Amino acid sequence: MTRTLLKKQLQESLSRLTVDYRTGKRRDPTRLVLLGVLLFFAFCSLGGSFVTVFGMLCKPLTDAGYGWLYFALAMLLTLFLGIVGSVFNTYSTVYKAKDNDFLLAMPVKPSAVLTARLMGVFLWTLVYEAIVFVPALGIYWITVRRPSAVTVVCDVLLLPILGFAALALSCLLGWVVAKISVHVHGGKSGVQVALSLGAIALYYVLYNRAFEGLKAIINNVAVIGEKFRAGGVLYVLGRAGEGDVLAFLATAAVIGVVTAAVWTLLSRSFLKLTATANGGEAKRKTKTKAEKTRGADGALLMKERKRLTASANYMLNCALGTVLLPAAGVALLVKGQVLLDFVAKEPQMAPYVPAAIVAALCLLSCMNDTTAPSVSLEGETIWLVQTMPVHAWQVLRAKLRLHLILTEIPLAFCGVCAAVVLKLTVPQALFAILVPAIFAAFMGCLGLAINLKSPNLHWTNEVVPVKQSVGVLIAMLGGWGLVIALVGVYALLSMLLPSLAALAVIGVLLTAATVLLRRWLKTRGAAIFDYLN
Amino acid sequence: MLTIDHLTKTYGEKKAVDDLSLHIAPGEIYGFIGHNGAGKTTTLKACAGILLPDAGEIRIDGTPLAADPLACKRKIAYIPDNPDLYGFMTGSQFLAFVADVFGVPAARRDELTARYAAPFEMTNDLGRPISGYSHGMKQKLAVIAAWLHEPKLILMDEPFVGLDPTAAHLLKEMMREICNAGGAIFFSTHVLEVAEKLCDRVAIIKQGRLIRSGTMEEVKGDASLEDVFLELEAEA
Repeated sequence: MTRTLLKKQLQESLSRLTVDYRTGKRRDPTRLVLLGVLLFFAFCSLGGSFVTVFGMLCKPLTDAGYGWLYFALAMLLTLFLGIVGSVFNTYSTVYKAKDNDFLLAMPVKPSAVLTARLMGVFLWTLVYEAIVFVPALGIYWITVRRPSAVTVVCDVLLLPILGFAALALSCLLGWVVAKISVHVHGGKSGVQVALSLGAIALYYVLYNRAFEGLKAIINNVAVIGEKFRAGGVLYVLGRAGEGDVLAFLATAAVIGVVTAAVWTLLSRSFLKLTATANGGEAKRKTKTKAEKTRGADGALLMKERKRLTASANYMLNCALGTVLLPAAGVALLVKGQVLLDFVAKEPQMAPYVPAAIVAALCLLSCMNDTTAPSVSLEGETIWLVQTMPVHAWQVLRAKLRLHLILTEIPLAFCGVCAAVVLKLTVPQALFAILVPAIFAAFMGCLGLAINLKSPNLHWTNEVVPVKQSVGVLIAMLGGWGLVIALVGVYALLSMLLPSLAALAVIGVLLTAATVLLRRWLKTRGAAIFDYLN
Repeated sequence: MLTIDHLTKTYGEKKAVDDLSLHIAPGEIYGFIGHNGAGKTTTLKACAGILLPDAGEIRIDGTPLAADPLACKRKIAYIPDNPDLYGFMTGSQFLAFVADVFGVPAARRDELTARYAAPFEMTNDLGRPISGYSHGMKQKLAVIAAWLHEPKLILMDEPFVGLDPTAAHLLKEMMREICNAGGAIFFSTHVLEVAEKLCDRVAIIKQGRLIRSGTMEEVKGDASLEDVFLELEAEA
């Protein structure tokens, strides 16, 4: 039974890659190849930063005989990223799936449904963990030269074992979220967003302090190593990575016991929490508030806003930039002197500072891609707007407006902070603010266009369109790719033109592309939306 | 009020609706009967403007749907067989949203909401999120929303499924009220007793083709609608 459920879980995530549900036909295999290339690009770009970290750590630690410490740190980092990556969607995947009632009404044990759901989370956890652990292993194996077969086997097996550990811990957090949500009325998504933002803040704090911490470890490896060895747990973890079979077995056993305990806890409360998460709570007395009157466009925008704020997943995966862009602006105001010192040391770089700001802001703005899953999120309710006396373009424009409101204002704030801190001239500041603004508008249109071309209206869990859809992936990675391409174009142009003129050309190119894409959305895109079902 | 001329819709090899023509006059409650997969929902969706026909024309109150869909949609309301509504809104937010899109003034919206919510026993639930509603409550809310902009034509796919007897009775009264005011209702149903008692005219469809239509007397004569339907199903 669990196998059948697992198959269904995998089908939901993967079938859209191979079959076009609008036509029922198999998709072009080149699409899969392109997706593979995109995923590889994402993996390399994310994993690249960890190559630097582990490259810095590995040799000093292994030379000093503290290879186990290297592994302990690598495994802690792996675990942390695995938890941060999956905790956001554990609650929704496990408790909020639309087909929970359907499955639970069948002669299926709730624990089997839970196991199938958890396996879906586990696979994504593995992906997140691989981003850290694969570079860590690669660096270690290259540094040590000839690791023993036992070490290689232990290291390879440690990835899924750590996956189970991250799964258990993120499930525990998801369970806490579910328990809190039971007692919070009307603000469940707020609780999840607050907890998730807390986790992100912790991640950034740790990330910012990581380099100082790593330097301290390298400089005082003997002292710190002995302290950790005395701690026991980290030593055993690290030894498992080095290929110590006993330590490996102990690690696997402890993680196995913890995972089993969490699974038991979850399966006992699964029915109750599922019922509550899906509206089965006790009836409460409510007051009906007087609703404001709006025009059709205002009503459509309000609908999009409510859709976003009702879903923690949607907010965290597609609108994080709204919080992080202003945070980046404030960070610049506080720590901007570091950048100023750099520019002072390298005066030849000064003309390129506006372009660097533009590139950084464009990259940061890619965190907001609310339009990319917005058509799919209409789901089975799409008939409502389709039967109303509004042009499909009005519906699409509301989605676009929400993206612009969420992105342009924080982006402008961050741009102004950068301009003030880096003492840009007025024309430089204008470019630093305007070009990212145009880029964000283009990305909003691009997300919509991609989603119109590959919509998924028949999902059973909103995590699928929000987090696991090709459209969202293409929108996000395409954004990064576009920034890299534009930097390349800028580099070529700046050989021929002054820096600001080169930026102006980029701005004109982006404007033209945005206008063309907007026109497509208004005509062809609207026609597609009209008859989506 | 609604004219369907030679409507054809094909899915791959299968003709879901095949050269269907119907005329629904103002003041009529028109029932649409057929087995599962006969083409009822496809026809209703095409009339609601959410499915593009392969051939044929649909006119709402004289206006061709293909030429001016927005003008047509202002005059109609559509309730699908399983009305999925916005779970992220409360009932009153949803009604306000629908009213805003149709340009219903706040005072009129509140008046109509109060008029229909009370007999459906929904007044106290309008402040709750729709995600917590039962199927029947969603159906009731969809009905209230459909009546909110005072449409001339209401298209309904199996509207009585999920409604309790009181609500079903109320809905029948509301349907008659609309027709008495010059509007029209076109709805599909599998409940032949309801169709027999409620409809002025009825159409029976099988495998996408119209096999009989007319006033209730013309269609069933002295027999029951159930007998006629079963007989036609066996014949065709």
